[in-house]
Amino acid sequence: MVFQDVLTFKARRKNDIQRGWNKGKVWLFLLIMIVIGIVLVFPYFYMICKSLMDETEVVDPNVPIFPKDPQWSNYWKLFTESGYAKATLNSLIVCLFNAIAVPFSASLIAFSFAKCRWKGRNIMFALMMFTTMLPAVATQIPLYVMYSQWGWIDTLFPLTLPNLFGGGASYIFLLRQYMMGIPNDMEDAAKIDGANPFRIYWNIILPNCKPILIYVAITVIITNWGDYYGPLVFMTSDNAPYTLAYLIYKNSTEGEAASQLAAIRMAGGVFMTILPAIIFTFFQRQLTEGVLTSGLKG
Amino acid sequence: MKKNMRFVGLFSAIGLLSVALTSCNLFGGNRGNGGNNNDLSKVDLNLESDYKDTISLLIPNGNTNETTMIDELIKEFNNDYPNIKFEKNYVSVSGYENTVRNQRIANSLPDIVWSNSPDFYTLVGGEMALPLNTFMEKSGIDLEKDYLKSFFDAGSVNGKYYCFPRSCDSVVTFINTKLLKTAGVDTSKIKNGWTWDDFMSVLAEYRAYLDKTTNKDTYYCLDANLTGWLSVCYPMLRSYGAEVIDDNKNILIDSNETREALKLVKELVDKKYIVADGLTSGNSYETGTSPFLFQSASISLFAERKALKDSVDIVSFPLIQKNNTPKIGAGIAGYCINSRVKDKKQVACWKFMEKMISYEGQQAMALGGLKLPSIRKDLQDPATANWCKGYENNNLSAYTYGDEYKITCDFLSKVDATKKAKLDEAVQGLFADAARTDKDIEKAISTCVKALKNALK
Amino acid sequence: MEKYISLRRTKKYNKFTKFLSANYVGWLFNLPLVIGLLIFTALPMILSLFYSFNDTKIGFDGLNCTWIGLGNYIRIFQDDEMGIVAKNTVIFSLISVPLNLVLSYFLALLVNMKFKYTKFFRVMYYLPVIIPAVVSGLLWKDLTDSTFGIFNKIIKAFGGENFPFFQSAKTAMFSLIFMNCWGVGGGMVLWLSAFKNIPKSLYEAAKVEGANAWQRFYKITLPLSTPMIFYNAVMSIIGTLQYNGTLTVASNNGKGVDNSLYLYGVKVWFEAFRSGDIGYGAALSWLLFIIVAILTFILFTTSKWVHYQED
Repeated sequence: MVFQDVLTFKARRKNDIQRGWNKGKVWLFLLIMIVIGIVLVFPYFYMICKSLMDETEVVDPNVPIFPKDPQWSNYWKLFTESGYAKATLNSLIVCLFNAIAVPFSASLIAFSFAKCRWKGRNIMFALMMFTTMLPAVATQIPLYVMYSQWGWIDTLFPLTLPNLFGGGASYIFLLRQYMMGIPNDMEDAAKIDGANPFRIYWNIILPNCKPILIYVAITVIITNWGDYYGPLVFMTSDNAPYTLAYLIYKNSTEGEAASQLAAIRMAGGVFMTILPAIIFTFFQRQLTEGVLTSGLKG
Repeated sequence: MKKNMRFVGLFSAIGLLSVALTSCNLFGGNRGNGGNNNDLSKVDLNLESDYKDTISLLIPNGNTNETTMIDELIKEFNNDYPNIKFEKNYVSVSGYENTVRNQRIANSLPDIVWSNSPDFYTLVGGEMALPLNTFMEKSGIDLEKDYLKSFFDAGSVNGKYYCFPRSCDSVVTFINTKLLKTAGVDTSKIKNGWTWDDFMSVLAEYRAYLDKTTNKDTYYCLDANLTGWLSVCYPMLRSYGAEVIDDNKNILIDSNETREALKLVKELVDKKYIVADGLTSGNSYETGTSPFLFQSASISLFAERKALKDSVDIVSFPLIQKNNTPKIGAGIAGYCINSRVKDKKQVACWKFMEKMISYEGQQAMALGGLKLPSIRKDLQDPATANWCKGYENNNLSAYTYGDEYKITCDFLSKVDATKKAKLDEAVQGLFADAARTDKDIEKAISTCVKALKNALK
Repeated sequence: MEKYISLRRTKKYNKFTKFLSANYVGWLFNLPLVIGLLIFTALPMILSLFYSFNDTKIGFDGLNCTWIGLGNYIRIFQDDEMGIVAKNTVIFSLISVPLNLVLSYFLALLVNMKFKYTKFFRVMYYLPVIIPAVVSGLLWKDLTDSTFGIFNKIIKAFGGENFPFFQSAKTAMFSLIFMNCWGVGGGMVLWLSAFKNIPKSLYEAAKVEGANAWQRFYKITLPLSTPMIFYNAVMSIIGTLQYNGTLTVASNNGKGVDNSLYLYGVKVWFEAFRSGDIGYGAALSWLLFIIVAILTFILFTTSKWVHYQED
C-alpha cells in the first residue's frame, strides 16, 4: 500500500524517499498531487484568464476559457483610474498597523491567561470565547452608531483602533495555547533573579513566541487586505480613505453596467491575491509551525 | 467563588455604566410625538441670496454620471445662492437600505437623499423623507400643466409627494437594429405603442432565424429582466388586472388574472424566446447577442459600448391589450429632503429641489450626463432639449410614450416598511418560478401565496 | 505557574486591597481585553440584546423601540421560513464540517511529505483561499452557471448531462458544499502545524516495536492530532452556523432556488439588513448564540477522546 507510507510520514525526510521508495511510487504521488492541484487551482486560473478578456469576450455565451487576445490593458486600467494608489496606501497602512497591534496586544492578554494566576481569569477567558459565538451582524448596527458618535465614520479608525485590544478571541486563544507550551523553567529562573512580570513577558515569553506571532501577523494581514465589508459599512463620504479591496468592489459592482467591468474586476481580484500569495510563499514555515493546540482544556 | 461573583457584579456594573454614559440615544426609545408633524404651513419660502450653509447630499456611487450631473446642478444653483456649499456622500446601491437606516439611527443622514423605487418606500416607511406638498403649493408648482405627472406620482405615497424625480425612469424595449436587420425581421411593427402580440410575432420571426444558425442553443431572443425586476413583472400582472394585495392586506395573487399573466411567461420559455430557469440574464443584450431588452436605463449606457456601436434604439414597452388595460412600468430616481432638516436649511434644500426640476436645472443636468428624458413638458423637443443631444436620430419618445399607462410598484406602500423586502421577493419569485421548466403555474402561485402570508405575518 | 506575588498574601490587607495586590499582574496584562470587550463587544452586545426584546424599527427619531418582551423570540418559532432554514443549516453543517475536516486532513498528509515539490504544492493548494471575497462570488457564479458555465462545458466535453448547480433546488446544497471544498487549503495549514508537533521519536519507537504503517497512523498520528481536530471542529461549527457566503453566489438574494440555500446566517442578515427588522434580526442572532453555546458546551463535555500531550 502506497498510501500507508503517507499516513505515517514514512517519507518525512528526503532520504526516506531515496531509500524506501522506488521511482514509480514517487511519480504516482506526484501525479495525485498534480491532479488535486489542477482541480483546486482551476478557479484561480480561470480568474486570471477572465481578467485578460475584453468586454465582449468575458460575457460570451460560448464560454471561452482562454482569452483570444490577452488584454493586458485591463490591469493598466485598474491603476490608471484615480484613487488606486491612495487606496493601496490605505490598505497597507491598515495592514501594517494591525500586523503590529494585534500580535502585541493579543500576546499581552494571552500572557495573562497562560502565565499569570489571578482571580477572574477563567471568567474572562470564558467571556472572551463567548464573543465568537454571536454573529457579527448582531453588533454591526450598534457599532455603526457608536463609531458615528465618535466621529469614526469615513476614517480608518474602525478598521484599526479596535484591534488595539486583542483583535479577536481566536488570535488570543492561539497565542495562549502556544505560551502554555513554553516550559516554565526559564521564567522560574528569571523570577529568582527578581525579574518583574513585564520583563518576563518581554524578555522570555515573547522571543519564544516568534512563530505564532508571525502566524498571527500574517493572518491579520491577509484578512485585512481582502476585507471590503468593513469599509463598505463604515465609509460613506466622498473623501473617505477607501481601501483597495473596497475600491475594487465599489468600482466594479456599482452602476448600471457593472458586467461591463467583469474583466477588470477579475484583474482586481488577481492583483489582490499577489500580496497574500507572496507572504504565504515566504512564511510557509512559520505559518505551519505556529499553531499549537495542546492543552485546549481551557 | 464568592469573589468571582463579585467580579461578575463589578463587570456588569461597569458595563451598564458605560452603556448609559456613551450611548443614551442608542436605545432609541419611542419618543412618541416625534416632532414629525412638522408644521410646514407656516414655512416661509423666502431665502436671502447670501444665505450661508452647507448642504450634504447622498448620491449613489459607481454611476459617474450621477456625480457630474449633480455638479452641474450645483453650479447652476450657486448662481442664485453662491454661499451655499455642498458636501457629497456616497451610497452603494446594493447596500442602500442598510446605509440609509444606519445613518438615520446615527443621525448622520445627509440633508438631501437620492432614492429610487422601490427603495424609496424604505425612506417613507422610516419617516425619513419630508413631504413636499406644502412647498409645492406655495411655490405654485403645477404638475399637470408643466410636468409629466406620472413620474412625480411614482415618488408619492397617499397623495404626499416625498421624492422628486430627476428624470423619467420608465421601462422601454431596447432593440438591436443590426441583429434584427441581419435576421431579416420585419421591423414595421416595431414602433411606439406596439402590442404584445406584435412583439410575439417579431420574436417568432427572430427565433425562426436563430434556429437556422449554429447559435440556436446559446442565443435567445429576449434578454428578459422580467424575472428579476419588479418594474417589469408587476406591470405585466396589472395589465391582466391581477393584484398582489389589497388595502386590508388580503392576498389577491391567487387569481385567474395572475394565471394568464404567468402563461405569458411560460409561453416565452416554451417557445425558447428567453432562457429557461431565467437566472442567466443581463449580459446578452449588452454583448450584442440578443436583440431585445426591457430596461429603463439611459440610451447612452448601451450606445457607447463597443459591441453595440450604431445598433441601439428603443421603442415603448409592448402593450398587453388583453383587457384594454395595458401597463408600463415606471419608477422613480430622484431626490428627497431629509425630514429632520429644519428652518432655513429646509428652505434652502427645497430651493435646490426646485432648481432640479426647473428648466435651467434640467438642462444643466443633461449637460452633466443625464441622458434620460426630462420630466418637464417643455423639454421634450429634441431640437432644444439637452438630454437628446447626440441621440436625435433615436426614437427617444419611447421613454415618455403612454403616460397614462405608467404604474409603479405601489402595492409596496400598503405595508410596513420592514415587510417590503419580502413582498418584493415573493412577487419576483412568482415570475422566476413561472419561467422554470420544472414548475407549473399552480405551484408557482402556491409558493408565492405562502411567501406572501409569511411576509405579512 | 507560580503566583508572582505570593509573599504579600500573608499580610493583612483589607479584602479589596488584598485582592488587588494578589491579582493585579494578571488584570493589568488583561486590561486591553477588558477594555476591548467592554467597548467593542459588551456594549454592542447589550444593545443588540435590548433590541431583541423590542419591536425595533427605524422611525423619525432614528430607532423606535417598543418593548415587546419575548415577542421576537416567539415569532421565530411561528415563522414559516424557519423550518427550511433549520433544515438547510443542519444539513449544511453536518456534511460540510466533517467533509472539509477530512479532506483538508488528507491534503495535509499529502503535502507533509518531505518531497522536493511539496512546498510548491502547498502554495498551489492555498491559492483558492486567498481569492478575495470581492470576486469569488462572481467567479463561482460564472463557473457554475447551468447554461453558460465552464464546469458544464467540461462536463459536456466528457459526455455528461447538463448539471444545474445553484440553479436547481435539488443540486444547490450539493453545489454549495462542493464549492466550499475549495477552501481546504486553510484547514491544511492548521493540520500541518499539528503534525509538526508530533515528536518523531514516537514513530521510531513504534517501528522498533514492529508496528505496521496503519497501526502507526491509528496509534500515533491520529490520537496526537486530536487536539487540532477538536479545535478545528469547534471553530468550524461556530463558523458554519453563522455562514452567509451564499449571499454573493446564490440567486434569490442568497436564498437559492425555492429557498434551497436559505441558511441561518442568511436569515439573520436578511431580517436585520434587508427588511430592517432590527429587533427580529437581533433575536435571531441571540438564539443562534444560545445554540452555538450549547453545542460548544456539549463538544467540551464529550471531549474525552481528545488526547493532550503532557509536558
